[in-house]
This record gives sequence, structure tokens and C-alpha cells, in this order.
Amino acid sequence: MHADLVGIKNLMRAPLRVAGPASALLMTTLLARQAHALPFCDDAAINPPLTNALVVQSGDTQEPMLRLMSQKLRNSAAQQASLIYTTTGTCTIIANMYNADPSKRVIAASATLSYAPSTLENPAWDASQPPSQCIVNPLVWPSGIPIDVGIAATYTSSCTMAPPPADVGLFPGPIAGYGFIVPKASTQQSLTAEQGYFVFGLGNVGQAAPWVDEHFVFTRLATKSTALTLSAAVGVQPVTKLRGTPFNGSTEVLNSVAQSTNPEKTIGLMGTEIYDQNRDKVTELAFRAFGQRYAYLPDSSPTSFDKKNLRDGHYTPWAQTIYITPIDTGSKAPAKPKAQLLIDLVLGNTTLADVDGLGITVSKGLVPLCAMKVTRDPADAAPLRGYTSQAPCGCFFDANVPSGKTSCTACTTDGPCGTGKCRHNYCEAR
Amino acid sequence: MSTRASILRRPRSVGIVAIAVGILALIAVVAACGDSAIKEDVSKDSGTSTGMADGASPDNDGGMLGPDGAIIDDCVAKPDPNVYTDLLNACTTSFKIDPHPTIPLLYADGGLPPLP
Repeated sequence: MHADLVGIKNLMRAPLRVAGPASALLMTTLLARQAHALPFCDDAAINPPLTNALVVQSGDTQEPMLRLMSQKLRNSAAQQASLIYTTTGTCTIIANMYNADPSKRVIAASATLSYAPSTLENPAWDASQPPSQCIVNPLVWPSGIPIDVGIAATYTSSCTMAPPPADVGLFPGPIAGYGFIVPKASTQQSLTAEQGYFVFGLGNVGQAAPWVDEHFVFTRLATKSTALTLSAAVGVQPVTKLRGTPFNGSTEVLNSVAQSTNPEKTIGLMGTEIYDQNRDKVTELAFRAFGQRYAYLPDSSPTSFDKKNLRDGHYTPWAQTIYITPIDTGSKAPAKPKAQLLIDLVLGNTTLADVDGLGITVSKGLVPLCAMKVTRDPADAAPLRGYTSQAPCGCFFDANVPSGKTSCTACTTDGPCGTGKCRHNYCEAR
Repeated sequence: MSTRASILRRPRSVGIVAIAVGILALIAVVAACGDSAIKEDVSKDSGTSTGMADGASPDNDGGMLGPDGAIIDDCVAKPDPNVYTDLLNACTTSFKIDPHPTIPLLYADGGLPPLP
């Protein structure tokens, strides 16, 4: 049945006693839905249904991972668990999840959510394609649909120093890299923190050639993790002092940089996960932090995806993602088992027979803490220090990034690992 | 920024003691600088200098530091860097760029003017 017809049928099933404002809401919703030709998220035609899906609100840099995770979970025979999501700024997500009133931790009625089509719906779909979308049915969720997990794509301290409510928990997620991008036609290869300070802090009067025209400096809104982390990396504080044209989404920055009419003067801000999906369109600059001798990319070379420099401290613009979810105030564990499942999958704490969560995380440009050799206090641009995971996964990481390889010994038991340990099918030192 | 400025200003001279210390540092890196992974590639020192500035001394792990603690060589050859500036400047085989941007408004000591 055509989605519109299904929606109209659903609406007709709604109680007829609605009147006045409710009638207006009904008509508004119907018109909006017809205009977008999208189903409601509770539409019976969606197979498998999304009625018990995990609802995620996330920074848009996490979307590549969410698309693939959403697809794998929807199609999983081991534990089918649909995931629907929307993207917005990290500070907006934190504000939503930190609301003292649990009924206010919602995505608004009539908002559009994204999800991966199941194999039944679209067997040809892969995570590089746009996701399916549905609308939060205002007749089912008149006050909005509750958010199960908010994914902040940088430290909460960049948005608020307040602790979360007692019934909300913070669960550290994988590391997200950020960087400065230029058009393919630009000859620029690097940016120093000092240059960045003048380009993004002083704009037209900064005289940091060639980026001397704010019309070609593309940034993000001050609530976005990309702006928060990168402004901190070049010392432009607070983030509201960023100069240039701020965009809501990564895609707008990508398009503006890629299609710039003056490539040499153009520079933009971007999450590394987004850049990794678009290396054919723009170039990421090597970055030299304050006090650093050379400039480095997140990866060991322009063509690799190994995040070697991000992992060992040579590349500093990165932040830890934070999974924010309602918790059981006694056990402090996520209140929803599906929220716990998502966190465990992303961190590699659990693996389903047909969902390799850690593999998804790694393949989409994120770095699990177990693959890091440095860490920092939970604040953007905080100094780095050495880090040794008690359960390292560096071998798995190296093997599973795009074009990845490792010289580590493959294993299924600790047997071949000597004094080391077999983790994620590779011998690690501990 | 002052550290960066001192890096650029500091003169270099080569002495036999520096060469010896550099070689020892290189040996230390090869011996101890590795991944947590078993049989993972050991990082090679792509930029270790044997030069030592006047008044400079090796730090306690073989990195080359000036009297004010500034880095005076291309990279820090500690086998297991932990301090921030050591991590930033640790020797690596990764692709790297040596930028020399022209920033007219940067203060002579490397300081930055306040933002408007």
C-alpha cells in the first residue's frame, strides 16, 4: 500500500472526537505528511516495525556509524532491534537529556527520523545511501517521542559544567576526530594552530594567507561538536567567537567547500568520519598543534585510514563521544536493555552472531578507547597523556579499518599469544 | 607558543657526545618503542637528530631537551612518551609536513593578540 494511503488510513482510525486544536493538529500533520510523502514511524507497513525501536538523537558526525549499525540491527536474526535516529548539535542533545523533567527528553511530534531499510524493504540498500525516513506521529506521541540515547560527539564540559540528573547516565563512547578541509583544487596542505587562531578568530583582518576572506571560511553553529572541538584546537574561545559562515550540518560545509568558486581561499570544519566518506570531494589539512614541531594528518598517510597519529598523540583535534541515557538509579546501568546493547556493541563489549559492533565502529572512522595510546581529561583541547588499555584492541583496529592490515598474530585462543592475550581474534600484549 | 619560538631560535651544533647520546636513544627506541600488540611493527625513527645545542642535555629517556626544557631536535626519541610535548613531537614514520606560514600579526615571541 502506498505510504500516503496507509497514513491517511491510520489517521482515519484516530478517535473522531478530536476537535478544535486537536483537529487543527490532525490537519497540519496530514498536510505535512502528504507534502513529505513519508510514513509515520509507527506505520504498520514498515517491516519489521519501528514501534519498539531504540530512539537516538546524535551529532551528525556519528551518522555513518549509526546508518550501518541501524541496518545490521534491523536485519539481525540474533537480536533484531531497530534503531531510529535524528541528528542535531551536541549541546542541544545534552540540554535535552539533562532536562530534569523526563517527559521533556523528547524529539518533537511531527519531527522526521531516519532509519536503515531492512533487507525485506530494500535488499540493495547499503549505508552509503540515504536512509529511510519516517515522521513522529503526533497522535501517538503528542508530546514528542522519548529519546533513549543521546550521543554527544564531544565532551559535555564544552556545553555545560552541570552534572546530569540523577536518573541519567554518561557512558564514554569511541573517539571522534575532527579536521580542517579545503577544496581538491587548493594547494594548501597544512594548518598550524597559530594560523587557525587568526583565520577563525579574526577572519578578514587576520591576514593569515590564503584564508583572508570570511566568505570562504565555512564553520558550524556553536552548538555543534565540530565547532566546539576545532575552535578549542586553535585557541578560539569561546566557540561563539568563530568567524566565517556557520552551517547547521556537515553536508552543507562539505558542499560549500567542495564547490567553492575560490578554492585557494576556502577552508572548512569537518568531522573525520564525514571526511573519510568524502575523500574524493575535499582534502583534509595536516594540523600542527601549539608547541608541535610538524603538522600531521589523523592517519599515517593521506591515503590510509589507520588513525595512527590520532591514536598516538601526533594529531590533537579529537574528542570522546558520550552516550547519554536514562539509567536505573540503583544499578546505574542503562534503564533500557536496548540502550545497553547499543553501547556494548559500539565499545566491543559484546558481539552478536551477525552484528560486529566494534567492526562497525572502526570501519566508520571512530576509534574505540581500547585502540588509543593517549587520552586526555574530559575537555576539548586538554593536554594529552599516555594511555594503556587494560584490554587493548589495536590489532583488531589496524586490521579492520578500510584497506587495513596488521602483522599481529591471528588467534582464537590465548595459545599462540605467549604471554599476551587473544582479543577480537588477534594476539594483544595483555 | 614560547616553546615553539625557542625551538626556532635555538642554534644547533654537533658534538661527539651528542652523537653518542643520539645513537643510544635510537637503540632505546628500537628496543622499547612498540605497540601493545605482539609482533606489531616497531616504529622507526624517521627524524632523530644527533645534534645538541649549547647547554642542551638529553632528558632521562634520551630525548633532546634544551636547558629550558624546549625540544631542540626534530623529534623526541623517548621509547614510551607520556608528557604532552613529548607525545606531540615523538619520532614517527608517519607522513608529516613542516609548515612555515606567514602570519604578520603573530607577536615576535610567538604570542597571540586577544580576540575582538
